[in-house]
Amino acid sequence: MKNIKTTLSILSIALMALLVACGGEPECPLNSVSMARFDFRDSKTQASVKLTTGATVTGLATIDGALETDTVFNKAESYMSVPLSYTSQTTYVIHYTETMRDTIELKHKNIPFVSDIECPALMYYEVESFRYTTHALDSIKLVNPKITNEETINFNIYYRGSSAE
Amino acid sequence: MKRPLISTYIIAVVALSSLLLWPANLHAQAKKTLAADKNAEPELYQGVSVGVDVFGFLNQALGSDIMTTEASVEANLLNKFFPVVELGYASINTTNDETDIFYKTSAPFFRVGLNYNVFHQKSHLPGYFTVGLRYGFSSFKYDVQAPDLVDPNWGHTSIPVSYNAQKTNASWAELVLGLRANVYKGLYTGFTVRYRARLGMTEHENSEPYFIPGYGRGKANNLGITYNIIYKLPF
Repeated sequence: MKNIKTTLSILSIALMALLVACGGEPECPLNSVSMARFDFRDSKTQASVKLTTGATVTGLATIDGALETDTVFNKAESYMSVPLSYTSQTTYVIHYTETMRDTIELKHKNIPFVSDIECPALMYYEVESFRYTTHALDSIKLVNPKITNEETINFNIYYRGSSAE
Repeated sequence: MKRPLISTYIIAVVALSSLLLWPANLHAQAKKTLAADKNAEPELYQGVSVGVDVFGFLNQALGSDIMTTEASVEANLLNKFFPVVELGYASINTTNDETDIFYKTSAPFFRVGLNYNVFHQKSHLPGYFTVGLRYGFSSFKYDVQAPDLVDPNWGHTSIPVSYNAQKTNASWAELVLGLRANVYKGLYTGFTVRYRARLGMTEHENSEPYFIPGYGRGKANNLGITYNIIYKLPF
């Protein structure tokens, strides 16, 4: 009997400790902004390539009839993660040099999302269509149309050999 | 929103104190009486018990935004197996202080399952330590409203975030550990600790339910507790 009581008491305390331990802080995502990720690749070898040093990416959105611009990326990386606007269309201009640039236009659905009342609401997106120019880039392939705060590849941009480093 | 953490501590103490109700002197008497029947085959039907969960009432009384009412009916077979049905109603109406997000739902729920009395061979004990499984289900609608989302880059656009009457079905499984003690004649008191895992849930494009009636926080799994008063019917 004594053993049973001891066992039950220990078990009860352990269960209660587990219960109390589970009442911790909410696990909100660290990254609260959804970004579209474009990976840069060589069109022939499929190998990862970097944008040329000094290249910048400008985002454009039409807000209340006025075109607003914002520099959204300026790193020599093998990919870019860029924000989308809360309108239905966002345009990106990749400036390789002063005279060479490409334009990518995304039409997207905006999806506000509440996962937990203890965490701020997020904006997700779904790419509905896209088009682009081919001055330096060769083509763009849609990999994943759902753009969330998780780090996933959404597009592959393929360059001809000499267009990127 | 008032966090239920403090009440969890208090209920934990209350639940632990129920162990003190384990009357050691009764054990000795019961042991002597039942020793003569040690070799007798137990009857299949050993009675039916009804119970209520008082944790839900206490939780709300202690400041939680969650209210749960729950009753159970349980049969005792061979003093070993306890098929059980649990019916309840839960509601929440809360706004988070930090995010200013509002959430509201209220709906019935049910669970069905089986408890196994670990100490079924120790019939002299005036109580039970049980391990059990449950299948739970609730069909409910919820409202969720958050402050407008404002575009952080092109800052003139704001999007309202308000979704009402989101119809959702949710099902889940529970692993239940329970302890109960006989306190007076057919009256028992005890608690259960429940590990819950969601099995299925209706998905919505814009939200997930924060609270599922009968399940609790809408995460993939959670831990819950009930504190029960149980009466063994005299037939």
